[in-house]
Amino acid sequence: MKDCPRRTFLKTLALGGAALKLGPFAWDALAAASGPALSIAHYRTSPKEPDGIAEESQRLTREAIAGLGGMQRFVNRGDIVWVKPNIGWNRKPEQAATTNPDVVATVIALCYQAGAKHVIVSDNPCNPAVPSFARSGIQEAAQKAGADCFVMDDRKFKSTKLNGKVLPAWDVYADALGVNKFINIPIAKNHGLCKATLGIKNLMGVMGGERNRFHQDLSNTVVDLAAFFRPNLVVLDGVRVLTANGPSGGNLADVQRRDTVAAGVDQVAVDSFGATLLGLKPQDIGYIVEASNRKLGTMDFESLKPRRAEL
Amino acid sequence: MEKKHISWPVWLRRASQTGFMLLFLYLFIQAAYHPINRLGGRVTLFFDLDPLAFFSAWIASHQIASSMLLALITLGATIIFGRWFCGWVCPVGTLHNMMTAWRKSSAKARLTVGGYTKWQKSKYYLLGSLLVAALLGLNLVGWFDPFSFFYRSTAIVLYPTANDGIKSLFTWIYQADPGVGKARLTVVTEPIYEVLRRHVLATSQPHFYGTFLIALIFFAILLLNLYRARFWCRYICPLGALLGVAAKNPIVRLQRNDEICNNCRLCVTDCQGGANPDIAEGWKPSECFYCWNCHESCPHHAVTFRVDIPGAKGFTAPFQWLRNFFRPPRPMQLDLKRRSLLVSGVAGIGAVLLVRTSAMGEASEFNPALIRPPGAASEDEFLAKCIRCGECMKVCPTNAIHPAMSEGGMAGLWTPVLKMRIGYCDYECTLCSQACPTHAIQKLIVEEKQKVRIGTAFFDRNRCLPYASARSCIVCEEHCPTPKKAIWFQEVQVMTPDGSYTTVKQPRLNPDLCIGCGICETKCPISDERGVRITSVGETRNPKNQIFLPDAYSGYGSGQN
Repeated sequence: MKDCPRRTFLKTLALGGAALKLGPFAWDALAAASGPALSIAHYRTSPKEPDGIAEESQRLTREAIAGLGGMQRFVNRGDIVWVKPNIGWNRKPEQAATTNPDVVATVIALCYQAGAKHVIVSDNPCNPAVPSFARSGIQEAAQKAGADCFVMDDRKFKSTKLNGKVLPAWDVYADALGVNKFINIPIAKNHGLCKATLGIKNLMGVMGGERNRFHQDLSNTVVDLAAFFRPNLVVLDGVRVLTANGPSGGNLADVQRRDTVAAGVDQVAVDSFGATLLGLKPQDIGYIVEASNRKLGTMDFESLKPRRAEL
Repeated sequence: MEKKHISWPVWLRRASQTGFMLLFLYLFIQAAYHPINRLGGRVTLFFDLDPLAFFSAWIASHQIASSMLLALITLGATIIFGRWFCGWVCPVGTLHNMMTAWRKSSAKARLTVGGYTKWQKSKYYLLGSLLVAALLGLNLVGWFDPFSFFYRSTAIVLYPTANDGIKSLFTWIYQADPGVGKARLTVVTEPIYEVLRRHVLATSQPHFYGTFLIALIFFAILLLNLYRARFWCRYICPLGALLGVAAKNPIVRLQRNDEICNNCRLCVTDCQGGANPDIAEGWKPSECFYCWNCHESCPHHAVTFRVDIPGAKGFTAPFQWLRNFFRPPRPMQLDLKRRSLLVSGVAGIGAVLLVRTSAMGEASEFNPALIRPPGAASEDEFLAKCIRCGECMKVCPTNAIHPAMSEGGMAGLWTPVLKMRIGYCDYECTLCSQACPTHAIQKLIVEEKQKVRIGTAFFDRNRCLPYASARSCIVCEEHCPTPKKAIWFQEVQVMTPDGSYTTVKQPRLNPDLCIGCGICETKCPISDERGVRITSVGETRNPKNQIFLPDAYSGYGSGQN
């Protein structure tokens, strides 16, 4: 995570001598110049389950990341990459409680194409871990794509300083911190308490300890995580979304096709767009508002002029 | 001291014992979640081979799991060849064998304790009591069945402690990170731990209620080996007794060459079963494990085992064998006393009556804590089939299933109950029903299991945060797994301590949808006594333990009462 793309970009510019004139205040402008902050890929047709959806998910993911300038914008040669899908529940992919395994596998493949040395995929589920990893289809898909995907080792949750508004410190999975790049791959779905589970809420999966206490102030706790982790890339799975009885779901009648994958460097913008997939406004969701107030990103995602691809 | 030569039958026996012990441990480790919702291999194998579990479940419930028909092979082989099963196969026997080998005592001392004593008959009387009780519908075999004893002790005591010990060692190295210069010990230990973690250890440390009693009994029984070789097998084991009855007249018999034998009696010093190899015409096939130690101990190999049918000549041998089986030649091998058999039968009847009439047994029908795994039969049928082996406790991926102490009354000791404070019944899992060797937990497919109610959730409004503390929470609703959530919430304005108002979501239960899985209780953030708890009421298996009118499912009534 230390080796952030804007710094890399700056170095390139410095070599050209231009940075000497721009100075440090132009960093944000430079980052924007390095590529779009948000990219949205959408399928006009909804291919039939189950065969069509795998190809659709792969193409949408590739297209969304290509819209940002490709994976090489985020992953350098030799990087170790932590990929954090939502494997929170012991559910099948079509129940849309967990990230689409084809989206995850495509991101892994792109990481390796960009020269990543090693990709690790894991999560700390709400349901028993081994069954959740298996039934979600993510373990198999990730391993096929060459990543290491196994349930977390509970010795490795270490109390870590977060310096958050409500979480001064909490148990964080140590291996998720010792990597070069962190990619968050949430699925958009309904949530009883905070209305929607998106990318920022998905960061709870690298936390240990008594996470169930987070609910007492969910907006602030998850935004504390967003401020701490600042993923290099967020890829939002909106191929199928869960519109009710979330986040665990289970009723296929609550699952709707949106045939969309969004990718972005601005996690607030990605979540704000994700809210619209569930028929919500970003303003409806407490943690998006809180993250925006803390200047972690842009709630008005349209102002970023997202790159849109219709397939 | 000269190194002792060990003959090939003993080596062969040891290899067989080692192999079956490893198989037992391998199947134990395999009794876990394999993708998707499957167990790894035939994890009930040893119970399937167990004729005691077969007969007790059969005569108590009048039903039998087809997989258990394998037990007839064990029984048939024992009738023909003798109790080889105890000496060569049974991992519990092997365990006691290992403990016995530890015992260091002189041959002279072993001379006095090696032979047959009449107390060895106690196991037959115990078997009699258990079978009579089973005939009356109460299956208590699980307390004494050797595989139940060993599996339960391994699942509840040995595996959790071994798991914790191994994990603690590797964690200690991982955290201390010792090394010289840049060479770190963790470079070696972490990959080893990773392999153990993925293939051998539990993914999260198991904890069980009632560990102490089970541990105490297990280690006490191990220590008894220091008093008599294979104490359990000689005096207690009702499976051994059943096989002993079957082995009245085996065709493989001890042969003593009286021309070589000088009556030194060394053969009895290492006799495992107390089968009297040293007394002329006194060998007891019902007590013999065919360990070949007598052959081994004899300086002149004057004793050995041979195929022999006493009194048989030529092609009439099978008929002679049958005749011997029903009218065994002297000496009478079992020599059970009619009066003692009668007493053991009466004890079995007495046990059933005691259990039925005690208040604890009566109350257990409505004990809120008696929450059985989904698929568990009605309580009577469940107690007729359950052999208290602990397979369900081992396989449960959330550590929800525990050995009962008093929840089910005395008769329910060590039968499975769910403790939702620790774990819950995962909505997509049916491992316990797959693991149950006697189908006390009926085989269910996931879709069937999802309709079985094992209890009902109740909110404790004095503890539940949105009611008691004006805080938001609703973790229970988040986790509720039914497709339409059984836990819903109402947004309510509540006063905070400073007098201002805030809106919280207060959880409510839809009892028509709740299946009592208990994830709400497990995940409730009030760590000690949860704000939502499951009780057994409403369980599908007990038509008496219900809350609502049968037609309550049609809605919430007219309100015209």
